[in-house]
Amino acid sequence: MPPQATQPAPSPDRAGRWAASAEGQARIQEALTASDRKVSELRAARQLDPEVLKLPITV
Amino acid sequence: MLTGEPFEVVEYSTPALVDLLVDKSGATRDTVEAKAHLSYFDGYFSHLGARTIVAENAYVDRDFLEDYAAYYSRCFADYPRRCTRLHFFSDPISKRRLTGLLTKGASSATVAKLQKGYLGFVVVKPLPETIIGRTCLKTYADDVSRRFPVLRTYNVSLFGIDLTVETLAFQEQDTAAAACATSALWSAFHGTGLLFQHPIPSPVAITQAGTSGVPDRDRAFPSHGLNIEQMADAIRSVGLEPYAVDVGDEEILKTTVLAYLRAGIPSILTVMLFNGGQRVGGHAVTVGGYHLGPLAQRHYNPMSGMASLAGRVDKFYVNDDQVGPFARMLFDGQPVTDSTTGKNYPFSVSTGWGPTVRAVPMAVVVPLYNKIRIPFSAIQDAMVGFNELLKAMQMAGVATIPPDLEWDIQLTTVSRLKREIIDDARIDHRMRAQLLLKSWPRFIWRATAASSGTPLLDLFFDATDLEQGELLLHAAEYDPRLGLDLRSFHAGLTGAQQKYLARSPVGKVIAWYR
Repeated sequence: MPPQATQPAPSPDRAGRWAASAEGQARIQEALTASDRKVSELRAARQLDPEVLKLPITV
Repeated sequence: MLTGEPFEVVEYSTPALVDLLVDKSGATRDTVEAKAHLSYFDGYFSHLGARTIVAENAYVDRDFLEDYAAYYSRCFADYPRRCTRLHFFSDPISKRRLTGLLTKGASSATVAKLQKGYLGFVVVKPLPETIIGRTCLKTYADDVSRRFPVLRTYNVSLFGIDLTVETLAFQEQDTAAAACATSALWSAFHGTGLLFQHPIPSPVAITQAGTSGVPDRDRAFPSHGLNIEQMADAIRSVGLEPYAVDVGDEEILKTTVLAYLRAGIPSILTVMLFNGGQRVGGHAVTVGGYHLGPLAQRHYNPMSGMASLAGRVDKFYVNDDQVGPFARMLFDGQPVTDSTTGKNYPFSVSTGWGPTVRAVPMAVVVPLYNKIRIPFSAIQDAMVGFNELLKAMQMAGVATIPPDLEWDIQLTTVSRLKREIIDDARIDHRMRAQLLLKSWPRFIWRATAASSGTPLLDLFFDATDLEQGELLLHAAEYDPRLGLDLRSFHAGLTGAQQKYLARSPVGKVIAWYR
C-alpha cells in the first residue's frame, strides 16, 4: 500500500523527542484529560435509567 | 376464506392483494384497507416489480400453529388453524403454466427462472385483524451504501418446487400471543438463531419466556407488551446474553447498532413514539440494515471526539411489526418536545406510522452469544483515548496522520476477518500472510482508521477475553511510518505518563507500542 503522503515525513524519533519535551508532556496530559472526560460522558450516557428498563413496550 | 383449490394464481395489483388478504383472513375489507401494512406492501412490491401472486391455500405455519395451540384453540370462537401463504413473483405466471409444471415436472432451468423472479412470501393468518403472519420478502438491492448484514437464506417449497429468499423474517403482532416487543425479538432470533445455533421460539414461547421470571402486575396473555427487563429474560431463554445500553445520544445509537450489525447481529431498538408531541407509547423494532451517507459527509461526533463510519448512517432499515419489513427510519435531525412534560429530546427518527409520528430512541438490546464477553463500549472507550493521542501528535506535526481520520469499529469472526484479509488487495503480501497465519479467537473486535476510504491502521481485539486482560491481539499499520512514530512516542513517555496510561482504557492500545 502506498504511504499516506499528507505531511512531510517526520524524522524517526521526532514523536519521542516531542513526547519527552515539556510541550509534548503538556499536550499529552491535555489529550489524556480530554479522553477521560469523554469516556466518563460516554459511560454516563450509555447507562440505562431504571425507569427505561421498566418502560412498557406496548404499541 | 379457504377454497377447495390447493392454489390460486392472480396478476399482482393492489386491489388483487386486498382481495386476497380479505378472502384468506377473517378480516373485513375496511380492516384490511386501514392497515398500514397495505400501503407499505404496495410501495414495496412496486419497487420490487411484483407481477404475480400465487396463493398457497391450507398452509401450515409452524409459528401460527404454536400460537394456535397455546391460545386460539382454547377460544370459544372458532378460528381456523391453517393459513394461506401468498408467494410473489416479478414474472407473469399463469395458473395453467404452474399446473403444467406440477403435472409434468419442472426442469432445473425452469426452477432457476422461477427463482430469479421469486420475491418471497407473506403468510396470511385467519384472524379478524392481525392477519400478517411470517413474512419473508427480498430486500432492496444491497450496495456499497445500503447494507443488510443480517440476511439469511429461507428455503421455500412451493408444492415441491424448491425456492429460496434472502431476508430476515417479519410478522405483525397479534396482540394475543405477542405484542411489538415479542415480534421484534422473534425477528431478531431469526437472525441470531442461524448465527449462534439456537432454536427459534414461536411468538407465544417468547412472551412466556419474557413473563415467567419477575412477577408482573399484568397478565402475560393476552400480551400487552414486555419491558426491557422482560425482553432480556426472553433473550436468556434461548441461551444468549442481552447487552443493553441507553441510546438517547445519537452517536451511541449509531455506533453501537452498527458495531454488532456488521457482524450480522440484529439489535432491538426500543423507542418512544410521539404524534405531534403527544406521547403514543413505547415501541420496539428490529434493526436489520442501514444506509450510509457519502464519505464527504464525514461526521465528527462531539461526545467521543471521533469521526466514525457509523456517524454517516442516515437511515436504519427495521422490521417494524406495525409497518412492514425493512421499513426506513430516517435520521433527519428533528428534535421532539413532549407536550405533556415539556421534556426536550434532541433527536428523533422518522417512522412508517405517518408523517407526524416520530420515534425517540430509548435503548438498544443486542442478543449476544455468551462468548462475546467484551462489549462494544470497552473498545469504544479505548479508541476515544487513542484518537485523542493521535490528534495531539497530528497537531504537533510529529506523526504521519492525516487530519480526516474516520474510525470503523465492528465485531467480526475469525473466518469472516480472514476472508476479508485474503480478498483485500490493499494489504501487502507480507502482512497478508502474517495476518492469515496468526491464531485468532472466534470473535474479534476490529477498529479500522481510514483516510478518504483508505485504511491506515487496523487494531484487532479479543472479544472473548476478560476486560482486565490485554485485549489487543494485533495492530496492523498499513503505513509503516505510523508504527515507527507510535513506538517513538511510547519511548518518549515519562514513567508517570506510562503508569497513568496503564490505568486508562487507552493503555491497552498504547501498550502494544512499547
